[in-house]
Amino acid sequence: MELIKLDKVSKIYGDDLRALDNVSFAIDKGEWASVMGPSGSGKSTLLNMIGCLDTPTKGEVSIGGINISQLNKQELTKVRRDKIGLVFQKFHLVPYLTAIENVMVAQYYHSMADEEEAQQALERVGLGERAKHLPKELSGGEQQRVCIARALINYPDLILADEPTGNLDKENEEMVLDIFRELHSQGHTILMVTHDPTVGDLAEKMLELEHGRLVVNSKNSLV
Amino acid sequence: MFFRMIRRLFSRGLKSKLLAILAITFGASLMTAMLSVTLDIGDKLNKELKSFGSNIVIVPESKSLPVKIDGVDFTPLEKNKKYIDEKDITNIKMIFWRHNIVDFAPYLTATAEINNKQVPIVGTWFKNNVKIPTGERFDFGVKKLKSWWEVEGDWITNGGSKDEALIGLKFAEKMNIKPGDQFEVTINNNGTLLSKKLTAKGILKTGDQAESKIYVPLDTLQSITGLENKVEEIEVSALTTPENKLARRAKADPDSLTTAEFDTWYCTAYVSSIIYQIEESIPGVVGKEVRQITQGEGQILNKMSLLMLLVTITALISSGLGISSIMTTRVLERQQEIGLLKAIGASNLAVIALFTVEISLVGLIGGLFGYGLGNIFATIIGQQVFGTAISVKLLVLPLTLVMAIIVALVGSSSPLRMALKLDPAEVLRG
Amino acid sequence: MQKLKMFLRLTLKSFKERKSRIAIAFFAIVVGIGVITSLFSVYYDINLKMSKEMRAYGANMILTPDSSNQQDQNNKMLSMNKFNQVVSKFSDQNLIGVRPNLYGIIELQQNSVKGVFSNMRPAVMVGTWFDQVEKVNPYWKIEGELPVNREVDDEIVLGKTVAEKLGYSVGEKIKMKLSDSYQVKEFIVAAVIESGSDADNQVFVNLKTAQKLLNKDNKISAAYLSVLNYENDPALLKGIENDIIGINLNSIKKIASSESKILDKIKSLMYLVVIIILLSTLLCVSTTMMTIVTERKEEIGLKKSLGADNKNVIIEFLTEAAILGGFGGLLGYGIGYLGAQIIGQSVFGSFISFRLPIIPFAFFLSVFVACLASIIPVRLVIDVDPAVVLKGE
Repeated sequence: MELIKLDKVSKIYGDDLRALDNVSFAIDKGEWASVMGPSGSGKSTLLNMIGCLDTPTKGEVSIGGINISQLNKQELTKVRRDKIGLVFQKFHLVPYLTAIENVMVAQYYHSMADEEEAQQALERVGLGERAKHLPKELSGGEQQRVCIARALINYPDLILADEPTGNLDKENEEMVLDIFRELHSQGHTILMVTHDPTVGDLAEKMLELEHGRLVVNSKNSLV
Repeated sequence: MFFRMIRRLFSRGLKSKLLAILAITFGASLMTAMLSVTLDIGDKLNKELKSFGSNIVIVPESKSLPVKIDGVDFTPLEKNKKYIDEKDITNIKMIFWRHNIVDFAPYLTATAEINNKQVPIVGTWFKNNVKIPTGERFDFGVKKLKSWWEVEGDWITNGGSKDEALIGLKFAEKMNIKPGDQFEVTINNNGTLLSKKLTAKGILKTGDQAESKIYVPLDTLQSITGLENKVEEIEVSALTTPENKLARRAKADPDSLTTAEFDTWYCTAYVSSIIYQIEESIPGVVGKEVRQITQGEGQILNKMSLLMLLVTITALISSGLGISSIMTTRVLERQQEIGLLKAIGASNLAVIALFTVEISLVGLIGGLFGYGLGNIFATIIGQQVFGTAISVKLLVLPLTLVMAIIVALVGSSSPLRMALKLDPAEVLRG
Repeated sequence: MQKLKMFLRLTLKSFKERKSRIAIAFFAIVVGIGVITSLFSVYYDINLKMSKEMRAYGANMILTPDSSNQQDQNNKMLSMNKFNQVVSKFSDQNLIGVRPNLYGIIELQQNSVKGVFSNMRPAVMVGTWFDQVEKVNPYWKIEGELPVNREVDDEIVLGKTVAEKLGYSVGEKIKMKLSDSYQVKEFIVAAVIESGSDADNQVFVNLKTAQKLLNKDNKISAAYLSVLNYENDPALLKGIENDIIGINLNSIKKIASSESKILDKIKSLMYLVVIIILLSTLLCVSTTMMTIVTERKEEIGLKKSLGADNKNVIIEFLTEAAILGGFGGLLGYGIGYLGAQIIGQSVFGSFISFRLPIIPFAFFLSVFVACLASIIPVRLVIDVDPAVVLKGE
C-alpha cells in the first residue's frame, strides 16, 4: 500500500531555478527509504514538500491518500500535525523547555499533553533519566533523541528525518540509527535524507537526486 | 578589515538595525523636543505673563505724597507739579535691554466735570504707532498693555480724531452714556474753565478703578489743560529675569557692587537693572517695580521651569530606557556572532571596538533623525501653545547626539560583557 | 483543562528560562508606564496646583458697597456683619485669604531735626488685618515686622514712599492727627512695606484701631479676597450678590482673566508634552518588545513545524505579552505614583492627588501596548515558511 506518492513533481524558484524537476516515486507503508545526493540536488526541497512545509509548483504529492498539492497553509498544518513526525539535522528544540516539555509541546499542538506518555517516549529513546533537563544541558546525541521522541509522540504515519546524524559523532550516530532500526522493525515508515552512504545503505529503498532529477530509484540489495 | 566589517554590517545588516535606529530616533526626538521646550519655556511664558500688565511704573521725581483712595485723588493742589517730557518717552526703547521692553503707555490725569459731575479724565496712548529715535516704528499703548480691558463699541487709535473718548463702565452707567453719544467736558485750568465736546467711542470694562474714569487721547488732554508734551506717569511692560541675590543687593544699594558685579547686574534683565537704565535715559524720573506683577511672575516662571526640568528628566529617563533596552536585546541576539569572532581569534578588545563603533554609528544615525523629528515636535508644541515656534537651540544637537550614543553604549555594555565572558565553544554549539 | 495546564506551563517556562529578555521587556514596560503614570498624575493636578501658584499675584476679588445706591455717598461703607456673611460663602479650602480695608485721610508729622517745627502732611490711612497680608499681598516686601495681632493698637506700618518722604524708619515714633479733629495719637513704626502700587503711599494700622480713630465701628470700605477655583462657577458671584443686599462682589479682571489665560497655556503645554512623551515612550517600549519577539522567529517556525497553527502561536505570544504588560503596568503605576509625588513635592511643595482611574488606565494601556507590540512582529513572521526558518545555516 502506497503511503507517499509523488507524480511528476516540480518545484521552480524564480524564473527557471528547478529545485525539483519532474520527480515521481512512491513509498509503501512500513518502508524505509533514503534520499541521497550532493548539496543543492533538491533533497531538502523534496523533504519540505513531503513534510507539508511546502507545496509543489507542478505535479501532485499525496500522503496517505490525501493530495496535498492544492491545500492551503492551514490545511497543510493539519496534515503535518496528524501524519508526520519531523527530525531535523540541527535538532531544533525549544531552548527554554525541558526535554519532556519539548515532547509535550508536540502533543499539545496535536491534541492533548500527557506527561506520562511523554515520559514513556523518552524512555523508549533511552532518556528517561534526562527528562527534566534543558536542551543546553544535553549532548548532541541526547538532543537528537529528544527530537525523535517528539517526532514519535503523536503516532505519525511517516517519520521524516533530515540528516539526523549529520551533527553527531560516531557513537551517538550509532545510537540514533539503532533507534531508527527499531522503529522500522516495529513497522514505522521512514524517509531519511542523508549524504552519508553508510547511513543510506540501511534503507530498503534508495532514491538519489542530482540537479533536481531523480537518477536512482531502486530496492536496496543489501537489506 | 575592521572598517570593512563595519561597512558590511551596515550595508547588509541595515534592515536588522532598523528597529534599533527607530528606537533611538524616537528616544532622541523626545530628548530634543523636551530640551528645546525646556530651554525656551522661560522666554515663552515670560511673554505670556505680560498679559498681567505693566511691571514698571515711571513717575517724575517729586517730594509730594499722593493721597489716593481707590483711584480717587485727594492730593492737595500743588504748585510747580513735575512732569515727564513726552519727547523723552521713546528713550525707553533705546536702553540696553530695549528688546525686552514689550510695551508702555504714558498717562496724564486731570479732573473734569460732565453735567456737574466730577470725573477723573486720563489722557493716554491707546494704540499709538510710535517712531523711536533709531527710526523703527512700534505700536504702543494701553490696548495691548492692558490685555484684560474690554471695550463695548470701538477702540480709539491715536493719531485719529482728537475728540473721542472711552468711558468707564461705572461712570457711563451713572451718566447714562452710550457709545456714539456726544457730551461736553469742562476742565478747570487754574481758574479758567475750558470746555470741549467729545464723542463716546466705547464703554470700557476693566474690573477696576478705570471703570470710574474717562480716557481720551493724550494730546487731546494735553491741549485742553495746556500741558503740551507733558505726561505724569508711564507704565512699562518689560520681559525680566526672576530676581536673585545679586539683583536684591543691587536694588538695596547699587554702589555696594564691585565693577564686575555691576556689569553682570547691568547686563542681566532684572527688573531693577531695567529700571536703572530707564532712569538713566530719562532725566528726572524714578522707576518703581510693581511687585505684584514681578513677584508673581518670578514665582510662576520658577515653578514652571522646575516643572519642565523634572518632566524633561523623566522624558530623558524614558528615552534612555528605550534606547538602552533595545541595544541590550540587539547584543543578546548576537551572542553567537561574538562567540564566533572570539573563536576565530578576536580579542575581547577587538570585539568591544567593533561593537562600540557599530553602536555609536547606530546611535549617531538615530540621534540625527531624532533631532529632526524632535524639532518638529517642539515646533508643534510652540505653535499650538504659544503661537510661535520654539527657537531651535544649536546646543541641543550635540547634547542629543552625545546622549543618544552614550545611552546606546551603556545599554549594550552589560550584555556585551556577558557575551564576552561566555565560552565561545558553548555559544557556538547552542 | 489539561490543555490549559500545558498552555500555562509553556508560558511560565518561557518566562522562567528567558530571564534576561523578559527582564528587559518588563523593565521597559515598568519604566515606560511609570513615566506615563507620573506625568498623567501631574497633568491632572496641574490646574489645581498652578492656580494655587497663581495666588502669588494676590487678591483676585474685591468686595465693595453697592455703588448703585448713589444717594448715600458719604456712607459708602460696608458693615462687618455683611463682610462676614460674604466670607462665609467661601469654603476654607478655596479661600486663600481676605483682607478688609477701612480708608481714611489723616495727617502725619514730618520727621525732622529735634526741636524744629515740623509740618503735618496728609496721607491715606488704611485699617486692615496684617495677618492676612502674606496671603492677599504675598508680593509685599516687608522690612520690620507686621503687627499680626489684631488687637495691637499702637503700631503703624508705613508705605515705602511715605517712609522716605516723611523720613521715618522702623522702630521710630510717628505722630498722627485726624483731619477733622485735634486729637493726636502716637504710633511706633513696626514695618515699612514696598509694593510698587498705591500701598507705597499709604499707612496701615489694625482695623479695629482705624475704626475707633475714624469713628466707624464695625465698618469697612472694601475687602480684597484671594479665592481659588471660583472661575468654574460664574453664577457664584452673582448668587452671593443676590443673597446679601448692598454689596458688590467683583473679580479683579486684571488678575482673573490673565490668570485663566496663563493657566490655559500651561495646561495645553503640559497636555502636548505629556502626549508626546506618551507616544515616544510607547514607541520605545514597543520597539523593545518587537526586537524580543523578532528574535524568536526560529521558535515560531519550529512550533509551526510541530503542528501549531497561527492561532496557537498568536495566543501564546499574546498571553505572554498580556501577563508581562499587566504586571509591568501595575508596578509601573506604583513607581509612577511615587515619581509624581517627587515632582509634586519639589515643584509645588504638596502631594499630587491620588486618582483611581489612572490605575486601570495604566493597566490597560500597558497590556494593550505589550500585546500590540508583540503581535505586530508575530504577524510579520508567522507566515514565514517554517522550512526556511528551520533549514538552519
